[in-house]
Amino acid sequence: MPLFPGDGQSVSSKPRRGQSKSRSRGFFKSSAKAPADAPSLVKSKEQRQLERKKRQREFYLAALGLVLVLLLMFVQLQYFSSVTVFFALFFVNTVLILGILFVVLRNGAKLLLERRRRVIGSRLRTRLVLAISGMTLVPCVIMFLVTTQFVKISVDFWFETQVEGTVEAAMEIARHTYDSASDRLRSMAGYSLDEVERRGYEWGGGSMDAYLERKRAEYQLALLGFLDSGRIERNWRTGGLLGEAWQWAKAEVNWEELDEKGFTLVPGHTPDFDLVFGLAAVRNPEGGVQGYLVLGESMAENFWSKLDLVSTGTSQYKLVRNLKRELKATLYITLTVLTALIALATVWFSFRVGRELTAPITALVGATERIAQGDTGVRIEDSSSDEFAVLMNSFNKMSEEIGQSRQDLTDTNDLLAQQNLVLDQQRRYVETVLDNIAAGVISFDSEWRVNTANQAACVFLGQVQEYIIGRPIMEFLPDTELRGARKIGLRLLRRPGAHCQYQLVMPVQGEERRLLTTAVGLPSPEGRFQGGVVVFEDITEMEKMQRTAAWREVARRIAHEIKNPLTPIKLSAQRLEKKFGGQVRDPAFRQSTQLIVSEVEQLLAMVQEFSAFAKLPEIRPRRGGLMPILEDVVNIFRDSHPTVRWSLRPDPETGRLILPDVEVDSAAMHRAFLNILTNAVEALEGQPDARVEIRAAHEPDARLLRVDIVDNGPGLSADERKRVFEPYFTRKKTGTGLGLTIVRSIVTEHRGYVRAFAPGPTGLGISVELPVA
Amino acid sequence: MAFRSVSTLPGRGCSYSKASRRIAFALALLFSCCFPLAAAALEHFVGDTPEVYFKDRILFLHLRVSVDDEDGLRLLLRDGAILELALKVTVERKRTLWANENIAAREFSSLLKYDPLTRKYLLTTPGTRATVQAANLRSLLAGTWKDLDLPLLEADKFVQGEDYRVDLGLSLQYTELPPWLDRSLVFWSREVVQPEPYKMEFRFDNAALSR
Repeated sequence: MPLFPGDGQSVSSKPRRGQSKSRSRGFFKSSAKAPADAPSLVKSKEQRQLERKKRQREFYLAALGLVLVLLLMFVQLQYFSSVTVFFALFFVNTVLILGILFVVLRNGAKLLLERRRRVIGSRLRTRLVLAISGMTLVPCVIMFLVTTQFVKISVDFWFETQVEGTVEAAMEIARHTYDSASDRLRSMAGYSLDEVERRGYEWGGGSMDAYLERKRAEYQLALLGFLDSGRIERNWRTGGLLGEAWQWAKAEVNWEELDEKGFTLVPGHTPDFDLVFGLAAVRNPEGGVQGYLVLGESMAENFWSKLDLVSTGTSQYKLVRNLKRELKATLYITLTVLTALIALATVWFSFRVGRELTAPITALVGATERIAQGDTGVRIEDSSSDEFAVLMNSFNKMSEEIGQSRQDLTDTNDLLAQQNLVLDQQRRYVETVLDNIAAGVISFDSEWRVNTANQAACVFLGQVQEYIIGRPIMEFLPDTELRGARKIGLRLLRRPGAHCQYQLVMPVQGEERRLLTTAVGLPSPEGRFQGGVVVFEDITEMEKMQRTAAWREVARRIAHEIKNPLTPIKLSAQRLEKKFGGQVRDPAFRQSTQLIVSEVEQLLAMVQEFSAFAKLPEIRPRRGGLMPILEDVVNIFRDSHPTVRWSLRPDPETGRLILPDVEVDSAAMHRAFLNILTNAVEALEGQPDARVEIRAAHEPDARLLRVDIVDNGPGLSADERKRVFEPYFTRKKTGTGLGLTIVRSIVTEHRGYVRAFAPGPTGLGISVELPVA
Repeated sequence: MAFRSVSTLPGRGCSYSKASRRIAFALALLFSCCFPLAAAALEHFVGDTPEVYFKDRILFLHLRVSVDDEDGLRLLLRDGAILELALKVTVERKRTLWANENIAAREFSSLLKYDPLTRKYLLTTPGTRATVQAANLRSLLAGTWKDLDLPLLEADKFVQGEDYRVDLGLSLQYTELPPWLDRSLVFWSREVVQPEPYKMEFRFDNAALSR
């Protein structure tokens, strides 16, 4: 049966190892690549063809051997009786039977080995072999035993004493009949010869004819005559037509014995009856033979043949009786040989049937294992048209469908993997984006438990991500904000798709921050609330900037609206003093006009400062060092305010004043530091042991430069520190409150950050952080 | 079993190969063990060595055939056996390099049986095929088998001074068995006495013809 062609590889069931000669089956093919540890039934197409031819040869040889055995047995039984030829043929037969026995034993040994090795199909094949062999062998053995017993009984019965006695009796009767005829004819001949001699009849004479005719009638003979010494018939008296009977009988006479013994009996036959001829020698006085007296007596039809039949039968009976043992032995041996042949042929046939029936099953099991190993391209070929072929076709369809399904699954998996990869990339991108944006993003489930939180959210909530995940989001809100948060939550529960926005004030890293919070519900397709996303945006700085912008606008408008009338007011006051100062003796007039001029000038100065704040030049940063700016500014103040102890300290960790470059607008930054130091000097006014310390440090991890300007002045309260950068916040009577506001504006435009801190119980520190270039 | 021991007369030829003999012996031994037959009354021929002679320019073979157990032979005959004395004679001219030249092959047979009706033994003489009968077996054999002269070949066929060899195969076996019995008894030897081969050699001399 054809096996697995396919992709250069083929797989067989142990064919049906025994694949049939006439209808090969049990081979299967794989259209897919077989696994590396594929079962040993992998065979090429050429191997399968060779195996099929080999099995065909085996079958033909076995059939030829069987036919040869039967033919030789028939030939030797039919034609040969020679011992040598017989034994030669017997030897050939024995060799052939031994050959079949060898094949059977070989198949049996192979089957046992396959059972021990647990080869697929071996158990079923064993059962089939035992069943088929048993079903045939048991009746065969029973029949053999019955037949041998029957032979024994039959042969023994043939030679029972009773049968033998009957045969002997028949023989005795035949002998008696023969002897009676002989004695009777001998007596007749004796009487006749005595009477001829007493009466002096002459042989051959006329009186002899009458005498013989009378005696023939008297003895009721068919013939009575005389043969002379030349054996020529004389005085020949017959009672009817004897035909050629006498001539045939005459030819059978042993004349020498007759001359010697004086009488003999010869059988004769006519178409109608049998005869018995008695010949008596007629001796002359000298004792010589001068002729023969012939007497012929009619007997019953077929008399001699019946006697011969009895005689022959008796002889053969005795012969067979003597050969009884050999006859029985021959029958036993023949039966044994035939039984052995049938048994061997049956066992051999059972092996073949077993292989035939188990081959497709073995192929199916092998193919199933191959499919289990992942080779869904396995196909079983079967050229037959029986139920096994239907099974094979069904299996092939199933295998094809499994292969197709597997391919679909593989494709789907590949697609899903690709999509997962894309999704993962997108997720990581989103995570990266989320982790790198300033806004905090938190997603939560329907139980308000945090699912995800980006880096900014963790900063806002003041916890690490691992701690946040899985906890209720309310747990991280300050008590002051819980009420508002619950309202938002109720709103989202009522309208899962709602979009809520409110502001939170939360302490972040020790500072109170204002967070614009946007909560978005995520409704399920059925419209139920299943969680949401909260986005926190730190609008503290934005608010400050907006406020600064607003103040800047206000300053611009004030400057514009106030500056215009101030000059005419001042000129008018000066004109009044000049025109009427001499005329008016009242000093109040002069004091009033001077006060007007001085206040207007103060207002002009204030307007000028407002105008400067409103018209801050555009920042043009360039790569450069910060230390020269700091040294320049410190040197200015060291000269102008020698009572204050100035110190420009290096990085306390590295001890170096060499700092990395930053993108900086030198003029703007110069002005910013100028304002900070001015603010410090003003705060130290009248302060003994006034001291200003400037520390510059590089923070590589944060990639920024930090400059801290610390004085030992009276310092500010925490609330004042929060507002110190707001426009027009000042504790000085003549201050505009725009110095540090300008500083924050400049630093912010350098993408930096400025804050106020308390360096100790007294004093104030201003920290400027700029990103490293 | 059918095989009996074989007498080893001098000058016996080898018409059977050793291998076939061994195989036959092994199989015979096997089946003798499995199915031992009754002990045979007859074992072998007795008599002097056959000899050849020329008479009236014809080569004759003279031999005396007898069996070692005449009573056993008589018993066989009375139990219905019909026996055939078979004689196979070949005359060959000996050659040195080539195989011997077969110049004549003769077969003679003589039937011997017992007629229970007439209580006589019947014998057909070899060559003439005439039937001889006698109530006494010994006297019957004395006048027949015990003094056989068989004509083989005319003297003209011989060449002066050449060496010749005469091979004689002698066997006594059952014959005229009922067909059903003959086919059935596959493990029974028909040989009453095991065939015995004889070999005679002589050099032809014309002078011997005149003597």
